[in-house]
Amino acid sequence: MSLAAVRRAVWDGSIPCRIDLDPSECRSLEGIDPYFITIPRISYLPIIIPKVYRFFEPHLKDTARAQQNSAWFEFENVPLKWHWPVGVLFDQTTGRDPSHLRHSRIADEDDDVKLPWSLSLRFQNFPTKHLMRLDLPNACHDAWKNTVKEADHVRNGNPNTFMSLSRGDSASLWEAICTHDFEIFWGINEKLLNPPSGPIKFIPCRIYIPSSTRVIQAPCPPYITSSDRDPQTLGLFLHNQLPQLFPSRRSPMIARPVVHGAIVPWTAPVLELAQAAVHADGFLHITIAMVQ
Amino acid sequence: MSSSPPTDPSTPQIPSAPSPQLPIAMSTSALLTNLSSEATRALAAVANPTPQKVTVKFRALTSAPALAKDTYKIKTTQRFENVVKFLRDQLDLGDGQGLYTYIGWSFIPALDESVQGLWECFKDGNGILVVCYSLQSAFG
Repeated sequence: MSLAAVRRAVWDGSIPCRIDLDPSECRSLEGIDPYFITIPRISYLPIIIPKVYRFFEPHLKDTARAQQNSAWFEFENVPLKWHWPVGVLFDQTTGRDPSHLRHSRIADEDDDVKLPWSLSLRFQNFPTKHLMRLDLPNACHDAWKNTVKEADHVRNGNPNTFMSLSRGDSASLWEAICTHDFEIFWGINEKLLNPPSGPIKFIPCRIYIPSSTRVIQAPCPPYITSSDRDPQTLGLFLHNQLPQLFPSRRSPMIARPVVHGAIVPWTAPVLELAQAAVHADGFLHITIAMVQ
Repeated sequence: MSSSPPTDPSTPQIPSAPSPQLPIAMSTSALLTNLSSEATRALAAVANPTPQKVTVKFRALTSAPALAKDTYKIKTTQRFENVVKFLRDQLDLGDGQGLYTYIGWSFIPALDESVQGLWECFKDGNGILVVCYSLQSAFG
């Protein structure tokens, strides 16, 4: 599979969702239809809020209070962080081990997680302890942009590559996420991933610890020696960062790395992986499935 | 993981606040009950790391008031939110007053980012995490 094909497959990855209005927000006791939507893994929940809001608006108990910027989503009573990519939220909250799927003829047969992913839409009691305030319309864009700058800074030791994008390019990059336009997004993102200033210093990575709020962000050098000959592999990086969860350098024993909902080869060079599977915020997000 | 340089014992510490623990989704907790004891122990260990202390230095940008004391220790397990809260207190800012806190002279971290991750990636040559702040937006 070519790099372009993997990027396309990652871009097309999506989560079928069922969204129900929480009963505490409904004006009548009668059942309200759920809203079904397929959300790209690389996208963000606030992007769908206007659509979802319009759908449920006639049923809201108190539209004066239940505004779009007080909307929040919950999965099994867990508030979902709106500034994390949807795919990361799904993988992290379901803890699903995708390796089960390999042996199943029907995709859903052995899956631990029932699809669609069932979310509740809520407005009251915005969980300020867990979620940042959502000042629409710009909050999500601003959070994303700051993460892109952060990734750029990790990559090059300074944020100049992103800062030197034209205002138009920077706006189009976000627009392409909202409209899910692969060509426009990658036309610009390529400039960030492979900057003219030369080879990158570190690969921006985040590792999510299962059933915990802990996220590890550590500079990941692309090569393990200064000679640029031995690429950093995912397995080695994880073993160095989290020796308890990844006690062996050779293979995963008690936990497996998951990227975009797929098990990734232990020996995959992180640099190559990031070129193909980077999220729209410039980071390689790695969730972890515990071996059952 | 790089180790933290020794901090000056006279440097005051930013008070620690407990990090809010998100509830665990039923789907995830069901999976965790089937783990080997080795895996359960490993998971508990990585979820609750031993904090180190690192140094942060506040730097006023543009017309923001400077702090009389600008260097502090903080535990790596703290969230960036507590850095911002502490700074707001020191500057005696009201609820409605804007404060922009930048790392690396460029980006505003999310409030739930850990001090550990920011320090690992953005500490300077002396092992200090510099936090610039401004009362107006300073970088586009």
